[in-house]
Amino acid sequence: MSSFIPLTTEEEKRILSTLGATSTDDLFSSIPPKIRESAKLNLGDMSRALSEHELREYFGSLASKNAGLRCHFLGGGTYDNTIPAIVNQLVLRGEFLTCYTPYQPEISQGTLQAIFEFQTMICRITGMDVANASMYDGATATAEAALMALRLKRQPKGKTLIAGNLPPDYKQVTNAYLSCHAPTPIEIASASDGTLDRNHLVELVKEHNPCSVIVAVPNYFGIVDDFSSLRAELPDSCLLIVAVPDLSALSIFEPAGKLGADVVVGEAHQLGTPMLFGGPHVGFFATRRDFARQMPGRLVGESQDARGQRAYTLTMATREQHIRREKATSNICTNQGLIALRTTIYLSFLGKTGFERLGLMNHSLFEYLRKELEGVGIPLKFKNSLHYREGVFEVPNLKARFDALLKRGVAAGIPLQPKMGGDETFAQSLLVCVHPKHKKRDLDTLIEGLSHG
Amino acid sequence: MAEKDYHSHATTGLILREDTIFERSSSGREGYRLPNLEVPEVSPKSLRRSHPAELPEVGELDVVRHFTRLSSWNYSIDTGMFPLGSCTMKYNPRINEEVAALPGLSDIHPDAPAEVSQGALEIIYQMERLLCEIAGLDACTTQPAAGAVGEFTGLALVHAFHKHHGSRRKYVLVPDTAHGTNPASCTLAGYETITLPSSKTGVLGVDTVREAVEKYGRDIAAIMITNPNTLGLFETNILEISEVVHSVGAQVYMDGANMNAIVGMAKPGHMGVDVMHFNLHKTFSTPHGGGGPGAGPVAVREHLAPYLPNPRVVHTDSKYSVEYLPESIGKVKGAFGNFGMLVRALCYIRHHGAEGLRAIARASVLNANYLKHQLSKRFKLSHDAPSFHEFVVSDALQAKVGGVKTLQIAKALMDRGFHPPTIYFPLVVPGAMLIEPTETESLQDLDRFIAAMNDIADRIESGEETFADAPTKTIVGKVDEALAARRPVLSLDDRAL
Repeated sequence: MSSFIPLTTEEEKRILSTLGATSTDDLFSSIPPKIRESAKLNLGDMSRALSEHELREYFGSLASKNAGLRCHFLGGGTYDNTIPAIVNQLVLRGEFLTCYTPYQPEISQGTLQAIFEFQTMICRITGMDVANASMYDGATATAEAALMALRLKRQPKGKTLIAGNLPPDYKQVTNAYLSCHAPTPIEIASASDGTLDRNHLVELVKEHNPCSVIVAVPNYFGIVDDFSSLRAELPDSCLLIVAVPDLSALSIFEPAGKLGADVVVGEAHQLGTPMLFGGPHVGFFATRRDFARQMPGRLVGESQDARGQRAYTLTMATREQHIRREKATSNICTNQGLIALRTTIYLSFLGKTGFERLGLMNHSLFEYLRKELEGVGIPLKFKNSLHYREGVFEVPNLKARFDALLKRGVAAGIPLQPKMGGDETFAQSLLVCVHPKHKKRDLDTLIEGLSHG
Repeated sequence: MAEKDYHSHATTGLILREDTIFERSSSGREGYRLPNLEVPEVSPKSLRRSHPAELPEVGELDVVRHFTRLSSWNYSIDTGMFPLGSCTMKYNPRINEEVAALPGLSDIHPDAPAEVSQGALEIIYQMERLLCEIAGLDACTTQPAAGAVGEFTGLALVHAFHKHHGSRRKYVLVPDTAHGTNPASCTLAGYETITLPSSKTGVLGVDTVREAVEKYGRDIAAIMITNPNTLGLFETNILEISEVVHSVGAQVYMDGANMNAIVGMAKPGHMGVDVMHFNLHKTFSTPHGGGGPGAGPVAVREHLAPYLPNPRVVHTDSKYSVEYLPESIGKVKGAFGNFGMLVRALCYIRHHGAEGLRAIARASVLNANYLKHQLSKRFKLSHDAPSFHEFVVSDALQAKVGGVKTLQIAKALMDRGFHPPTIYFPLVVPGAMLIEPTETESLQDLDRFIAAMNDIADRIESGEETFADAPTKTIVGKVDEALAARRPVLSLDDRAL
């Protein structure tokens, strides 16, 4: 018997005799025999139960098959960072790890207060009024923002414009979320400098009268677009949704809320959570106060208890699926509680000055790389635009140089052509991203490797 | 409160209150030391943020004390029994956490070349293969981030299938015992929900389905059915129901939230199911974490496989790689989904092996039946039918004798050291308490829970208590949820409003 099942043979007998049953199989007799008789599991070479020691060996060998990189310059939505020891250790406390969604506030104040702190941090960083208790990731948060716009405008079949320079995952997830019941989002082209093509945007807005326009800061090319006049260029009826695939960008750039955004969504895993092959990560969703009741997901609010003390609770639950069912603002139930907690602990520890310093580090590392690569004849594809931590470089003989670096244990970046649907103009393009872990010698290895061969 | 024979009962203990982390701030205090910057520091030339975000300014010990204190206010599986029906709050093995944190599994990037990601791709491939076998279905995607995303994904696959066959359908049939996520997912997938009443015996009648099929015919896209259902009953008519639904070309979707009751004992694919989702954070022991992360893999029969989310992990010439299906519904989550949860679930499956998985279902059903047998002596049982891993009792007797409702019983349980059951769900039973002990509770812990419930029933019957003020031993008393909704304070900065 598994060590996680405490039932002894003796106890099983005792329970059966209490129930007046002769065998445990009797308890399954309401399953039609045809189904019961064909239930045997064939797990092949995985049939045997493994001991804890064997599990360690098994996963150790799987982990070693992923080894081989000593350094990487991969970004594009998933970002590396150093993680403080206390973040990893605090989230392993059983009271955080093994508790449930805080529907019973009297015995969940720890989770509730931490989420309240998370909501406060997201509001302050994005410059928005309200933020929810987390989303699955930046891509699904973007999709939910587009859906909220359709609800607010009471146009279930309304149109959505989406910047072509959003990360591909964000576009594809938004497409999938919308296309079952609303028109597929229409893509706004990028200008020749990699920023949003504002003329195209104006044309599309005029033609389609969309419920929302979704843009990105920074965009998939690492460009921090200047959107300070964008709100004024859109009709009042159209929601401006700003996707921030890397929340750390807002440590040194103007928060999207200040630019007149109606909704700011994005990704915060890079603040305290490992890359984990892309998940679990954590999305955030922030908006204006008057839209709070149309938000998706959970919200924590401050209240009082029967003894007059400050207390926290989930609130505005009438938006949610367990109350409103088919009329809910989203189907979200379980989302990313523990990862939101990681973000909260990380941001607390990093603090006001540390957060700004993190942004400056990323910016400085990239500026060094950009200057040095330019010096060896590898320019940025969009060299006149403002970048944060990553950018697209035009690398001669890309495949050979990329492969040679990979042999030396360096993943030089993300070759963009496959990501851009095979677009020929990206044939030599490499999306290169820096991380706070990078030392000068890592950057120099990359510069040397990309400039030869 | 007199000490009964359940030995863990709440005391006031030493519970310290604590303000938010922001209120621990001291201007100029620095916390975490980032790596040294080895290149010249430069600041952006434009769009520079004028005021840094007002984050706390605290030290390492401040952070450790603050969050350790907060954690002490949470009830958790690690601190006690969690009989939350349909949530499967079983023990979360720590070996899962250890292996998921291994370098090589935690610090890997989804866009790294496949040749340096073979281990990660193998984990995804093996999980999909194992879940197919457990489901009795042909193909699987592990991309959905949670059960609700799984539901949406499954319905989007159904939508794509019908569209491919030139059929536009409008409705999804959902029994009234379903989780709220089911109808909400239908809306997201562009379908209208037709609610089907369950019969007096608690299961869905074939005639009810037949009537709906006659009425809506080929406008029905699918039926969404939870099996066992949220009353803990196996849908005994499932084979006939599937046949009726298939007769108009509609699909059978199974919500696998309650798979813990039948894993290794029955395969959904053998019930006529075309598509289903699993909740890895229920059946396969990944921790709930105070509301996620979870994972909601979806398994399908062959005819739905061409529409699965991209990318697909494939195994050819002893190498793992990804490929893209031309008719895919696209992506339902960034990258490969919640990979870290797949690692934990795979660890759990391999810990159990084939026989061990069956043992899970058997022990969870034994435990639930024992609890049901004992509790039904004092609480009104909703349905006297053979039940599986969970069952429903109500407050009918206690309301009649002492005017005490389910909510008070739930709060009284807290003072006795237990998390309450799922309350007021399913909606078909007034004052419902949905109780699921799981297989990881010992007989002794079940007896303690029974003693606590009996103590509550005793006190109500004797007129001694109505539990109007419960809970009294928790760090906060009953929280005013109406006030929170009426005057929303959703961040620290709202306090001043």
